[in-house]
Amino acid sequence: MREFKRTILIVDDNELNRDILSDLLSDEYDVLEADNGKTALDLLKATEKLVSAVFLDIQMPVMDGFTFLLTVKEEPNLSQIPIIVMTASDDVETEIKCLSDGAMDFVTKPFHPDIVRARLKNVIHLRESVSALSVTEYDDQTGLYAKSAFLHHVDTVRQHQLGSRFDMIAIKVSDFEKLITKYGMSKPMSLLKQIGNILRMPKNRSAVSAHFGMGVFLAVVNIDECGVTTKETLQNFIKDFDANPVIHGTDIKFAVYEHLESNASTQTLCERVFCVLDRLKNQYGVTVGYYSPEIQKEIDLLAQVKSDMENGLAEKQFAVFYQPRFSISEGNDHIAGAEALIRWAHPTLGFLSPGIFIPLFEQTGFITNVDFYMIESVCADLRMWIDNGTPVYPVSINLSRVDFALSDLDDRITAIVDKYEIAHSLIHFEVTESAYSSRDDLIEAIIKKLHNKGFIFELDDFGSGYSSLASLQYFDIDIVKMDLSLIRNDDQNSKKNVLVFAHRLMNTMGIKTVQEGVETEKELERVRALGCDCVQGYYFSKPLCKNDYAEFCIKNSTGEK
Amino acid sequence: MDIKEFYQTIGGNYDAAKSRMLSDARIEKYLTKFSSYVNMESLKNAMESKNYSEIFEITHNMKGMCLNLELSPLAKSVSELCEAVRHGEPNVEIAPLFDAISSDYEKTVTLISELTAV
Repeated sequence: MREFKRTILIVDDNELNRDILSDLLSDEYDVLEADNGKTALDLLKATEKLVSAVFLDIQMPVMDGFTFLLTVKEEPNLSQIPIIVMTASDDVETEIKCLSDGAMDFVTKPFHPDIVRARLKNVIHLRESVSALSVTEYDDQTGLYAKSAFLHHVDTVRQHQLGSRFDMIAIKVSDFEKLITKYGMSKPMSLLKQIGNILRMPKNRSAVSAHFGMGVFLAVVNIDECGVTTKETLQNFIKDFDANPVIHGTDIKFAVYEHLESNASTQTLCERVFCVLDRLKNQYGVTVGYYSPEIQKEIDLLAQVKSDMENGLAEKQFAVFYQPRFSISEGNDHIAGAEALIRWAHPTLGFLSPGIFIPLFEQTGFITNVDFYMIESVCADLRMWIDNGTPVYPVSINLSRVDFALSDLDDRITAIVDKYEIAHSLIHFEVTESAYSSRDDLIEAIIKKLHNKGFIFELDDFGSGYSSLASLQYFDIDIVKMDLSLIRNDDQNSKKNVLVFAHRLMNTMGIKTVQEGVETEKELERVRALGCDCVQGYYFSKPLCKNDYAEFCIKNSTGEK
Repeated sequence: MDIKEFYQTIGGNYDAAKSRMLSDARIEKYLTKFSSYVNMESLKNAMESKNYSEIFEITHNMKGMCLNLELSPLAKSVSELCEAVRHGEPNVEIAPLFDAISSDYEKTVTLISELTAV
């Protein structure tokens, strides 16, 4: 392979010196020559950035070495090129002047080739290392520090100002990826620039700021120097941000970590503040979150959950609980099915709420393993009950939107259900609203295939987030489950009652409804009056372990409640 | 006469030249070209017209070449004239310094031609 040769420039009016030096270095370098400073400057401008180092004589006609040094220093494109000055051995004054004018090193004349080569190599290596560092030090889009440089600088600042109070602020542009999809690259990049400009404003100078990529920013503020509280800093930020919006309606989240512990590494502090930021992700309308010891406990818990989840599934620590569902629209209320709910009996943490581990499972993709585990467990239970004569009712199993990333999801589900010889109509799948909002074509196709095979589909948590009425039209939905928030927030005196509207809508569309969270007789009668088909909730039964549920089915099939 | 003998004859430092040029061939190459690099005629003219800056420029240049090629006696005489005019008009008589250069130069180029003639 041909080795890459760097280019150097020898500037000396002494032709013989130039020739000797060039002769000695031409094996390793491509050598350019100039007989005075002016010619050298013209050459450098013409070959910009190609030259890795310059050997410079001082006494020259037209433009001497001193003038050349000063001129190069003022040229942004040239000032980075390392210059080695060639001086007489006893000319200390010249050396000092040259070094202070920007020369990087010097060799004495008459030179020794080994010294010339070594010094040349050193200055080139040093300059290239510094250049490489500066490339990675700053973020291209914002001009703020990039991640690694930020961590380094914050560590340094904290070490040197041990007594000071530091706060950390994490800033995230919500759904930045979606902004790129929606607007292309240009506007979102301008948005990043705008935030970068705000963080680089003189009033924010007491902060070390960085862009970690994809709309995530971090700033560490020396509160003692800053003169304003972090709360005021955030208010100012929002004011500056809103003053000239690049994309109207951009949602920004802030996570704040006050009084950074001096004994914790910056990396650790960043991880903690990111956890706070992460928690804000699905909290609509909540803009700022604060780190606290309580949150740290949650972070630790999540870390443990993450490390134990695979083992937990392998050791069958996860159990299926069944919450009965009652039909209320056919005269006599009777059991009509159940929702399969997961419980994790953790060996040291005890029973864990799905609210703790499901979001993490979804984030990591582990949810798909768990969902298959649930399908398999439910099918095994149904098979056992059918075989021992226990009455069986349809069971609704939750499918995560993550599961739909599997293109053969329908085949895999069918294979499990068929293995246990369970009628497809006994298996319902609950899919949350959010699943219908992305990858529509793929999800629509999989649902259609499963639906055609006789599986029943339920739209879960209707009314909890951004309900999309379009999803009712485009997807094969048999049943809509009304979110429990609808009944909790039911205000019968309000003309804008969402519970009433939602149930009437489903009645009009001929879609069956299940109301979740029915706890009292009053609530039961309320939704019955609205034409609701089924209810689920503590009024009829809490979630039951499989044996208790089997007994419940036996009792209720004989008319007992 | 080989290169080593050449340096012995002129009183120059062969070892230093060798360590700089790395080979006898390279030393010989530059010795051969030495007279073409040096412009004695211009120096003579500058002396006659008392153009001290020109004298400085030429002798400074010559000194560098002599030092690189380890032509020590010539380097010494050139250096004396160079230093005498470094700050403009000299306060010593410079004609003898020029004569010394002329003499050393002649000796040097004669010996070089003897060396390269072989």
